[in-house]
Amino acid sequence: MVFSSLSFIFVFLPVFLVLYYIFPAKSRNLLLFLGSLVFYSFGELSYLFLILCSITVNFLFGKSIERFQGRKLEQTLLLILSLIYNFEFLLFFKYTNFFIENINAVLRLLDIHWRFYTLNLTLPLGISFYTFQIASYVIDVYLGRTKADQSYVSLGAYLCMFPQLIAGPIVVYSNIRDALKERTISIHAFDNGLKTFIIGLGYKVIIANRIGTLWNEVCTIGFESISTPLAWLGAFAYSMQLYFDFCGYSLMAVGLGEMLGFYMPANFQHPYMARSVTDFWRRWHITLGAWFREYVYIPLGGNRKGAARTVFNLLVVWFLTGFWHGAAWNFIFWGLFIFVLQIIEKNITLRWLNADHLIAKLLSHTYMVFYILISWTIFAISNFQELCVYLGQMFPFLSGAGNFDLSDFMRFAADYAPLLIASLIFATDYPEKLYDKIRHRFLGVAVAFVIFWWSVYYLAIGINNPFLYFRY
Amino acid sequence: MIYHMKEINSKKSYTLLLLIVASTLLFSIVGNYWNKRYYHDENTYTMSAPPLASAMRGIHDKLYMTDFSSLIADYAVDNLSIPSTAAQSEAPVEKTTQQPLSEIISTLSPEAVTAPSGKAAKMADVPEVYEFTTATEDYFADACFIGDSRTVGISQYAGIENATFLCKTSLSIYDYNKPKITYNDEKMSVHDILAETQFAKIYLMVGINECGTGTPESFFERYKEVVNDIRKLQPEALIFIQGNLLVTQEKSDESDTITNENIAARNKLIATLANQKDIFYIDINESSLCKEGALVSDYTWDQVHIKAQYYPIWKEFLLRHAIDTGKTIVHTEKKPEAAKE
Repeated sequence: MVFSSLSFIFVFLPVFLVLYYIFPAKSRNLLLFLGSLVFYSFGELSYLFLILCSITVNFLFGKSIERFQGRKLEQTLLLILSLIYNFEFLLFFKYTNFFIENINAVLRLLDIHWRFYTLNLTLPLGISFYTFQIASYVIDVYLGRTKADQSYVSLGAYLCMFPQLIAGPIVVYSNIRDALKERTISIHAFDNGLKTFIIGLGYKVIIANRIGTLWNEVCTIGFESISTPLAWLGAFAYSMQLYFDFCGYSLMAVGLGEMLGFYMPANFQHPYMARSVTDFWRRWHITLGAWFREYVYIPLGGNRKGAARTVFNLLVVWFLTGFWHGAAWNFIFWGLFIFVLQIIEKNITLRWLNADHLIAKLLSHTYMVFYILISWTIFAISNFQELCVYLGQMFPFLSGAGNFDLSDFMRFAADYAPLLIASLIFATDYPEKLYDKIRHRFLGVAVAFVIFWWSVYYLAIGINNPFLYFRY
Repeated sequence: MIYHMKEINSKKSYTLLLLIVASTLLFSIVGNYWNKRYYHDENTYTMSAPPLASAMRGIHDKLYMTDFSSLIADYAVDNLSIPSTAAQSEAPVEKTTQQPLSEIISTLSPEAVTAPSGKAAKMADVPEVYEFTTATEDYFADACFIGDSRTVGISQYAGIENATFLCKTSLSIYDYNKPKITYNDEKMSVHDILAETQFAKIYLMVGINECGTGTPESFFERYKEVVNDIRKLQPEALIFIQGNLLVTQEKSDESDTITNENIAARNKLIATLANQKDIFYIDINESSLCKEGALVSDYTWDQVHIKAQYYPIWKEFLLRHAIDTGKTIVHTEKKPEAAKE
């Protein structure tokens, strides 16, 4: 079940909230745990056992690591075992076929007529996220940052908590521990959370879903046949779809959390306003960046072991970040692309990208437009050949291909003009700043009310007319 | 004093929640009413389609206009995206009054139904049955293409420059009388455009968007009416009924409605309208775009539309399925600019 569905908004959420509010505070963790399992089972009944096993195993590991306090060897052994347990499932479900395909490709190159069959696996919902969350829990217990949770229900509520179960934000256990034990709910926080949820819903349904059709149309035409201007417009549309989709989903999660009495960290801070790639990654998927920093970069030594080691540590982080996003080579290239740019920025360009005068501002934003569009293009197209075709259309002087027949561009630009302009405006921080000014006035209520029904309208006609988004 | 302010603030915090709850109830009641009144309970309520979804659909179909004013009542009912048979069964009298005169005649006069053979009898001195031949590019100069997004694709990428295109994404056979096509800068229905301008060849391909609606038989009923109407409006034109392009095996497997079986069943029915005299059936699925009863997956990204670079195959196929009646039909009417949407 996704947040942007009528069944969630009008069935699951109201029922859950009513129960959550009428039950006494001490049974709310249990309610949250069970409710989240119900939520999860709508999307994926078959892998429910996997998440239950994960809770059970890590609950026991957490307690055992704590019991061996002072005996580092045993503790370390237990930590390693638990990490193997947690990551083996992620590796198996997400990466097995990638490895098999690559082995087969090598065999083909060596002219060996032997192939491994790829497995018919579906990725368990949310596994990329909950694996990272539960790993943070055992590591934090190991490092003594937090006590092991003595309550199975409370740990279960943490890991399964439906607002962040499927697509984050990645909430680290130690950040939410206190709220798990004791939290207050108030109509004020509820109202605030509801408004945040609605803004997220609007981002997802009114902007992301609809601008996404432009990218679909570009793919439908085929990359060989699009003009250079349309290639750039397509990359722009995809970038906007990705941002509003993910940022919208994260806002919905944060809003839901607040309605339940949890304060989750923000996941996005207007990344498209960043003036350097370094800055961009402090604003995009913040909780993932923080996780890699906390549990990979710093344990490897961070920047404290000399320049060469820092570069290596960054390489590891960006390789893993790329690979986390998907099991394909383009994601690895994408991660390495970011790595290279960050190294260049750190050593050369960052100083003047951040300079505080008009020319620097213009240049840095121009640079970021290119970074955003190119990096998301690499991200979007998994097929290497197709990616080359697309980049060739974007940079005709490199490929010798490309055409400047503006007719297709004009057609799409005209059709999507309002959405393209809206996406540009809402990617900045001005609309949200403006909304915060009126948030608690009646105007703020009215705006939220309109966004809510506008979104529901699009969702509903999407059902009755399945061809709204996929029409022929 | 401070307590008092808090009180006001917390009351204020209920506003949005209460507004949403109240409006949800209101929309549910309206949706339920509209579903009974205009959709004949065809919207079944599920968790993902609660009654308020019918209200949203009604707003989309502009049903509120129906309820607000009896003067424009027919407007909305006429624009429903449901098969007209359902609408007729609800209010047959109303339906008749809103039909254009020509349509009423076509339903009343038995001659209209048998128009094709009637016409063939008139042209007794020319060969009655034609075989497909190969034509050159100028063959399309007096042709008109009617269709959905696949025909839009033909208009943009097949390289047919001189024909008239009356096509629009998601156009269905039920849209025949609705003003959905931009023609000479005006929104017009296909029917009205055909009543205004004569063409020598008319290519018709709709049906993929209808796959989720009704049965192949109900689709065919409406399709037959439309073809008969076109026959009457364009007595000299050759009508080419194009079979709908199949989708890929993958798409067919994952979809409940857009399956190759469903498309093929509908194609088979509309093919029966052909008489090889003035109505012909041509099936793009016989071209190299399809193999083993499905669209070749290399030719498409979304499993339904072929990529732009393969549309010339379609054009070649049409040219190889041309009809030469021996007489040159000069396109005398005012030549409109191609109406592409």
